Amino acid sequence: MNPRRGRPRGWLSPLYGMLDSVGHAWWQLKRFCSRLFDFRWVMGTFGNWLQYLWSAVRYPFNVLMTLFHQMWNVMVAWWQIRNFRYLIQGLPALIAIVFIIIIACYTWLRSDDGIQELYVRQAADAGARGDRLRAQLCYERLMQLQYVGDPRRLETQFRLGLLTNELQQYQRSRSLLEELSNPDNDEGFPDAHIQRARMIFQNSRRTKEDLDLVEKHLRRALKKQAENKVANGLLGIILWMRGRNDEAIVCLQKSDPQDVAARITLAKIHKAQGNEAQAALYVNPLIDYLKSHANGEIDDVRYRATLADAYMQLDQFEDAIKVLEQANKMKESDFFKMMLSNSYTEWFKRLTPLPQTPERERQKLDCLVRALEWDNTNVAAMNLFVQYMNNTGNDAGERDRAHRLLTALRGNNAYLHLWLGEKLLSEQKVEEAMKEWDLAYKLNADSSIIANNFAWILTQGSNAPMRLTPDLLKAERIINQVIARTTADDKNKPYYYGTRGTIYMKMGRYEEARADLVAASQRADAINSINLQQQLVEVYDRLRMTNMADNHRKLLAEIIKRNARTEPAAP
Amino acid sequence: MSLEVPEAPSSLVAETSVSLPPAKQVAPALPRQRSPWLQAIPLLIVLAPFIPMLIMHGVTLWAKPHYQFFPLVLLGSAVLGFFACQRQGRLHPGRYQKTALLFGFLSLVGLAGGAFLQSSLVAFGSFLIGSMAFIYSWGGKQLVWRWLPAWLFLWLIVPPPFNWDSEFIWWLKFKTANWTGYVLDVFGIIHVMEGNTVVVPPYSKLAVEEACSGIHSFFAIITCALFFVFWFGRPVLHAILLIFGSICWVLAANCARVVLIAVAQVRFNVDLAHGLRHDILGFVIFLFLVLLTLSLDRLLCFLFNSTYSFMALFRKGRMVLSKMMESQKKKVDLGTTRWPGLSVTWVYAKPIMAIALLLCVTNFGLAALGLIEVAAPSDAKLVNSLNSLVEGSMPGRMETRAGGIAYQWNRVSFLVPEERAVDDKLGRFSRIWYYKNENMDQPVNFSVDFPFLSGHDLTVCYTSAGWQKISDKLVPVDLPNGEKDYYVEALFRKPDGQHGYLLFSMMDEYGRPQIPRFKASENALQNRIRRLREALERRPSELRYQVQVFATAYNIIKSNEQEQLKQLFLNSRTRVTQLYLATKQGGAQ
Repeated sequence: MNPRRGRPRGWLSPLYGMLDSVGHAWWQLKRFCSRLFDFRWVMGTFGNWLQYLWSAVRYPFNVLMTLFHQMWNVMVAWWQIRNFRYLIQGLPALIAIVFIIIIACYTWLRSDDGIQELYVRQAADAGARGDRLRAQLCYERLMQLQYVGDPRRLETQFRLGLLTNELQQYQRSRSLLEELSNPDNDEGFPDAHIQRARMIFQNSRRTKEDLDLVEKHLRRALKKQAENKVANGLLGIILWMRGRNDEAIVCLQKSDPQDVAARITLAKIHKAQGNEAQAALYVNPLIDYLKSHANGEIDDVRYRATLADAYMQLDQFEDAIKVLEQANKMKESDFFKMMLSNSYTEWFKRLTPLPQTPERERQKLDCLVRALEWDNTNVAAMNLFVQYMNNTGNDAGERDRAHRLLTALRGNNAYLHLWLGEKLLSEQKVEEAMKEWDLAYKLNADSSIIANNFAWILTQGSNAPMRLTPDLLKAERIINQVIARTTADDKNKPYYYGTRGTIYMKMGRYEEARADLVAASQRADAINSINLQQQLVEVYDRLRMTNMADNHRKLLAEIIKRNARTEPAAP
Repeated sequence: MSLEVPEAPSSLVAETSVSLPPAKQVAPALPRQRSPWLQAIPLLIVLAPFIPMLIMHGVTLWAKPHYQFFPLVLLGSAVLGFFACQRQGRLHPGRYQKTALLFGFLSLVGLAGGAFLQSSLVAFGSFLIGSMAFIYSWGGKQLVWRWLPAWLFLWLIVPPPFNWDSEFIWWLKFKTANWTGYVLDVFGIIHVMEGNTVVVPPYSKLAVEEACSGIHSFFAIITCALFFVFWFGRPVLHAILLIFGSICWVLAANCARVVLIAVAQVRFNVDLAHGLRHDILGFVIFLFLVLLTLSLDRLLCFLFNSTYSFMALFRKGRMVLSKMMESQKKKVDLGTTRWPGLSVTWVYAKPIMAIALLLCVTNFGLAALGLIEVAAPSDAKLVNSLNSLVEGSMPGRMETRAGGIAYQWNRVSFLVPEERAVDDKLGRFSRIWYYKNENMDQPVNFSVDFPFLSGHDLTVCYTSAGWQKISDKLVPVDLPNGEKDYYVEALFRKPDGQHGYLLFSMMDEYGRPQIPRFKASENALQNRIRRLREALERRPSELRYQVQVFATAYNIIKSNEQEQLKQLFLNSRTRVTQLYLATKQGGAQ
């Protein structure tokens, strides 16, 4: 209660007044304290503050709620006039439109390079996996994506050309690659020119025209890629073959240090110029490199083969044979046997122009016999053997005696008996010749070459007409066995078909002969074989297929004309 | 000549809605009302000459698979028409009867022209004009306005002239294939485009055919969209947007269909390109398209209504919305439709009836003679005769000679492809012989494809298969007997470097060469006149079989080789025709 509710009266009023003031002060103090300690004022103030705060917080929601309420009213109105229903029903179309727009924008804005990169990567992956069809698809798409003037298109076309060749689409491959390796203009692709040059170099007869063309291709390639190692190496070899050593050296020096043929050619040039040290400078690192790899990687045949090749190029045949024999000893394989056979054949070829001595003749025969021992299907060795044994000339008598001696010395060698039989046949000793052939066949019946030659020889027995029919039957039986046991990818198989075709022709079975001779035409040298073309002409004539006969007759005339042109004129 | 238009008899005019007070005087005796069926007789007389041509039009449309939905258009038009004329109150005949009469007369003239040209298209167009003239004449502007949607809907079964629909099909296929290529790139599917063929791993070719390109669904969806527009009475802008949107849907769906097939093939090794799966996929996508069109219509409704309602809301407040709602609920009911008598229409004009009777006799006579084809020509004889061709029908070896050089052609193989769809661009059946000459890179294909209706431009087929046409010409050759021989010679190139040389002829069912493409030498009118002349000699037919030789090589096919191929083509064609005629006559005997 407030003590100052009334004013004091009387003479004690000052005192009362003072006491009253004190009392009032005391009361105020008490009230203050009581207020202070009952916290009502705090609550009140805080309450106000909280109320303000709450209002601030609530206000936006109020606004939102009001807006929402208004929107709700609008929506209700929409619903009532079907608008919202329309929206829901139209949602699928809206989603579809958005989806199409996104896809369209993505397609439109996506970079073309990204797609090309994808296809290049996919092609590489497919190539690595051996999925050639997929790789082809990728390259075909790349060809579509790359515009005509795009430099990358040439590479794509080149790769597609190689791929189609692997897929045996030869015509397409030829079309693609020829466009890239046109020697008459500069629009081609260097790798295509190099590949074309290599192909001509390996498969042609290396005439002047051929070498001119190879050089033209390589120069086209070098015009675009002056430092191309492969092109420089091959061009160096070509120039060396044409006697332009100074130019060759420049090119060969730019070749790959591991390119055996190029480096050895370079060494040979320096050797021929009397610069042994320079030759050694080029060839020794190569030999060391190959040796170290050959010793280090036993399973990798490439280094040994290349090392042997390098030795052969340097006329060190003994070393080459040693490398190959050692390799075959470590890991026996047909590849090394073939390489050994080739090495001996090459050795024989190098010995042939040298002056004849008894030791050298013995060495030459040894080479051929060993070549045939290592690989009895080596046609080149067989041909050289027959040529060597049939050699005529001033020393024919002496050679004959030497050969007989050799036959006696070497015992039962199938090839010698084969040769002996042929020789006896030429001497009209039919019975003895047949014995020799039989013996040769018995000694090595597994040799397809012997069987084939034996069968062929049987068909040539026209000087013994009484034996013609039974011989042909035997020849047919033998050659059928040979054909049956050889695989389809055997490179000599067309020759065997040729022999059988000859047999059928002689038996008068022309239709079968035609089929076999056509199969024989698949061999690489068929286009130059006068004998084969003559046989085809005869067979087609017999079968009254005049057009075909005429075609082959024309071809035959062309071959004869070509041979006459290429052979040197007689003095 | 003056044409007399009958006045509408007062008895046939429907009562006015405001009833007048009854007159005191005695009402005159009303003339006796005729039966409505009797009244319709003139209408039937005018309609009758159209019937053969309308049937012919139906047969022609049925022969085109993408127009086989036309019965639905007729049904839809009937439905639209029926509901549009309900509760319209009294209808008044048109004010300008002479104009209607003029259009009616023109429609009969058009019909005569159509019959002369044997063009069902012209006849059907005339029918539509005549029908509109009749509608106006009968029910005036009000009926025209109510029946306009149904009438416009009928125009859907009028194919575009100059074979534009075929060109559109080709364009659609090309575009579909093109876009499919882009979308497949987005999905990372390895593929190559060869014309309208998509090649996907493992080197299988997915041809974008008519069915795949959705040309059938295209016309059906447009029809559907138009039906929605007319049924719901959408405004013009809405209608335009809906039709445009439907076209976009079809294009997108076609693309999606081919992409789906390719993805299923590559990713899941599932073949959706053939058989029942392909058909089911087609139906599902079509159904989806119909739903999307409907959905788009609703979306457009939402957008338009929202725009209007927002504008209204901001202008006048919510009350407007309520009014709009009320106005939507409100229906105008004019009472039972009361039709005017038919005698007011131009079909009652005597000259018109006379012309109609004359045309009736002429058209039915032509139909009886077979000059108006009221039934699809039977291809059974042609198909049976050509199906009897076997490998041995063509010689195993043939010789051609050109420029003094002889070429020997050896038959290397023979192929009978599976029966294709009726509308397949390559024909339903084929017999293919492959001949090889040692001078040519690849075997040459000689094939007989059948049956076709009317012309067929084979160069388009090769173009759509990825070949680029270099040159192309129609070669007419005068035969000693006065007839003309035609064949088309075309050169192609493929982006992968291949060269192609094509020779083909279209032969009619009598083994005579016909022009494969009308554009080349004679126009449509000349063609019709020629056919009419031929028809007077024998019953004409549009049935054709196609003979072609197609050679491919990676080198340029030289002129000498082209001559040899021409010889091969002509010899083989003669041989096939002889065999065909012999088999046909044998079968007939």
